Amino acid sequence: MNHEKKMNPSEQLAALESAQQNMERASVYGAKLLGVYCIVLGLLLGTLAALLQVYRPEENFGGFIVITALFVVAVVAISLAYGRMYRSLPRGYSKLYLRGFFISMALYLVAVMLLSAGWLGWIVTALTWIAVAAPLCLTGVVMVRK
Amino acid sequence: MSAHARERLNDDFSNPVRLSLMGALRAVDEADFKTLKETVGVSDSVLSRHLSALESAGYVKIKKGYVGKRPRTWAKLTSTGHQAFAEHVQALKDITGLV
Repeated sequence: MNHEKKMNPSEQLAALESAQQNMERASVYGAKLLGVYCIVLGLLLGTLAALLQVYRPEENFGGFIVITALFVVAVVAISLAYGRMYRSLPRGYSKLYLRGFFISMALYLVAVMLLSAGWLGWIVTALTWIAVAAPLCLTGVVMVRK
Repeated sequence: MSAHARERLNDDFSNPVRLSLMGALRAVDEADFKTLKETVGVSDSVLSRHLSALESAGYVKIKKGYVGKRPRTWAKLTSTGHQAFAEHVQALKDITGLV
């Protein structure tokens, strides 16, 4: 490739299309990586929300501390791993991730507020897990499949 | 009377490397130096020179950081870069008759 050669408009458009296609191919890896990260983070957040229904801080403070600490360690570990492997991200994927993350976090906060209602049974616990994990997991699945 | 499309071409993107860089960055939210180098097919020094020029013009934002102990550089288009490049591409399409 001659780096300084002047190109006519048609050549510029062809070069542009080629660069975009190359980058789109290269960023497939980034899409799948963020997708897997979203799925794992969603499962962790859902599991934390569900376990907090079982190990309530006012009833089992030790269990609550252990679960929360494990969650923090797991999130830090997957975030560091993601940071090491991250290279590029297709256009619009940052917003897609943030949307899934904030919806999951909002549902997590609802689950935390439900703690004050007392033990609501295993079905509610399972539904909490699914509801909190779903937005991030579905976002992740969409990214991996693209 | 509106200006001819060729007058709307941006000289900052007339260089083939800069054109390819802008095109590649338009397809992503962000990309690291190695990915850009592989995508555009240029050497480290050539890529570095053109990225710096695009950054100076305000079209690209460069972020430097570390992954472990290794330095890493990421680049993304600024909103000015998105707009300027969209106008350049539109001018190219107008000239070539691709609308």
